[in-house]
Amino acid sequence: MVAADAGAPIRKFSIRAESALEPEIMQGLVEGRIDIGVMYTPQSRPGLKVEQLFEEQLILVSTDPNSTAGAAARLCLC
Amino acid sequence: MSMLTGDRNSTPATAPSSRISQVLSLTANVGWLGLQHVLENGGSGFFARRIVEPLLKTRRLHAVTGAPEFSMPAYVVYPLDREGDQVSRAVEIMHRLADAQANATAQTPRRDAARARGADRPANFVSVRPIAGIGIPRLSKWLGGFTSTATDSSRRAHDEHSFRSRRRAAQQRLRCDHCDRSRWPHHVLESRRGAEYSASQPGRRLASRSI
Repeated sequence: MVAADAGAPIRKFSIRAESALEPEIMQGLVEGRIDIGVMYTPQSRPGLKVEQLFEEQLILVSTDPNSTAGAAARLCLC
Repeated sequence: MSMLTGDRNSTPATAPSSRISQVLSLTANVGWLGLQHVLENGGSGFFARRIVEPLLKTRRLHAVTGAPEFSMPAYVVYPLDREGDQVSRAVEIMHRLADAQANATAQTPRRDAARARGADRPANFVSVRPIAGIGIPRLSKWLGGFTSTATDSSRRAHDEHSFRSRRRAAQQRLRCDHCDRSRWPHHVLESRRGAEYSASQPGRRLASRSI
């Protein structure tokens, strides 16, 4: 990555990206193995900063063009 | 990864293969996996808008009218002692990319406010160079795919205390009416038969099965 802020020297970075479950990412952050974690359910830990990045919108979609909201009432979000 | 299939009582582990036809609903907590199932077998489910948007445009999927929508905040976490170095600059870039995507796609009044804020930002904040297989271009493309309605002010107010209360609120929004559990994120799939099943026995728990 080249961060091209005006006036700043150009630096190069390698980035290693991994996907994992939240506890694993949190543990990596605590131990210093991971620099930045992105997740839905972080834990509050001393020494770590948590900032909201974006808000995901979950919508109900169907392969049936004529489906109605009646189906939604029968869904179990667990 | 675990998936939820059928009911433990009606579908014992030793069920003959004919019983597979009685697997009535399926829950996957890996979004793309569930999406694949829906596309191949038909059905419906809750998915992130940013994931299904292209499929909605090509009419392979259809938004169910009148269905509830859920919002689920996503967070970036980094060590406090890295503030001021490259890590915090990278986080700043991630915020900008997420905001930029929100400006491009969000249909809320916040959109205009966010765009107005973006006007006084430096335009040339990042350029990218590929490094090996999974390099920045892919990462930035991924980040660019984020849908966000978050505002700068909401992030600023986002200390650890407000984080807890926000998460609690989000969990309550996603609380299940049937089994009173609030685990998330989960992408709920529903086969056509699953609709009948769940409708007739809404309180029944689904058995979990590892694959």
